[in-house]
Amino acid sequence: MKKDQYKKFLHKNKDQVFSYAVYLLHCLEDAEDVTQEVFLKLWENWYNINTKKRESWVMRVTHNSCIDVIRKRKRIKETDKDMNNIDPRHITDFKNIFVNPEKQFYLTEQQKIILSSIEKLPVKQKNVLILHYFYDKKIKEISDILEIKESTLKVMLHRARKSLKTLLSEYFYEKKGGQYEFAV
Amino acid sequence: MNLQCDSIRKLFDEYINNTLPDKQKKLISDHLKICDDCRKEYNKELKIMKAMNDMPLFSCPEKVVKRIESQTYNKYAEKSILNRIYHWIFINKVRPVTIGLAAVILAVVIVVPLFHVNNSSKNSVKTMYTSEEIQKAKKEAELSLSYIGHIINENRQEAVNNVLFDRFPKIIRESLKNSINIIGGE
Repeated sequence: MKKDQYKKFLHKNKDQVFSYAVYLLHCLEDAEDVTQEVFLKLWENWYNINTKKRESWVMRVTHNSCIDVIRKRKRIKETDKDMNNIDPRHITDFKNIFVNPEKQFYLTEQQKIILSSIEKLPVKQKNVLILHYFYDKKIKEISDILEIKESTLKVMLHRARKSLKTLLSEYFYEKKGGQYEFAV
Repeated sequence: MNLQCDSIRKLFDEYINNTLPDKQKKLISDHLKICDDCRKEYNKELKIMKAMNDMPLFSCPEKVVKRIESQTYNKYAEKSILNRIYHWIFINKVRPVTIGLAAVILAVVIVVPLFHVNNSSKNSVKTMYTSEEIQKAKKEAELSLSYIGHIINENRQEAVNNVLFDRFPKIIRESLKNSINIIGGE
């Protein structure tokens, strides 16, 4: 039955979808909207999707709707620039978002720093980093989700790591044996 | 930093994830022993990757799950049976099947009576006249023809003068003349 399969799938993948949206958008309310939208689309297109590719389909739709939200924000920012009236939700101060006692989101200081520097990267590199390292997805799966060739993905990943390292370089300090530590 | 260092730094990710063939793995580990710069970079990347691999998954809030449920599989649970049947037929994915079924039923309803009417009319032609009846009709026709000839023979003079040559059209006059000659001749 569609209902049982859908229920199973929803409870298995809701956290993955939600946290991907949170990591990309840095806003809980937008992430909630995106998750809802994605799962409604899944319900409508349930029979059109190959059962093996369902998970990557969901991630792709999540990714696309997140990018839509980002574009919308840019438009709002451009129109409101002169009015000096920017919605505080659209300023990505995730440190306040993640320290939310209600939600019990726990991040270490290192992870917060990494997230803040990932936020400075271009969107494409950000996606690849999140999918590859946060979700442990293989490059083949990512190429299914983002519809990018594997070879270009590898290059993008390398560039992303390089720029992330330069962004984080101020936080590193050298220990005695040539080891590096985060300075927080 | 030479060319080798650059190409080796590209492979750090795969080296850390242990997805490289043995040859390349050995090459990198040998290089890391020699090159200080690369070792520093490697250690940095290892730290960043470890921190990123431990990123938590956020649990999706219950209210969102409830909103999704109320708009998907629980949407029609509270509605009446008629509503649900309507939805099942017209809105769900069964729609093409139901439309196909309806088309087949319509075709059967329209086409079958047509065949039926044709068959029955053919049958009625056959059953109305048997061979005996046809023979009977032939005999009656002969009788009535001879009777007409008899009448015409009796009143030949009058018929010729009053009716046949004055009032009927030419074709009928000629045919009557012929028939009279045949019957009269016999």
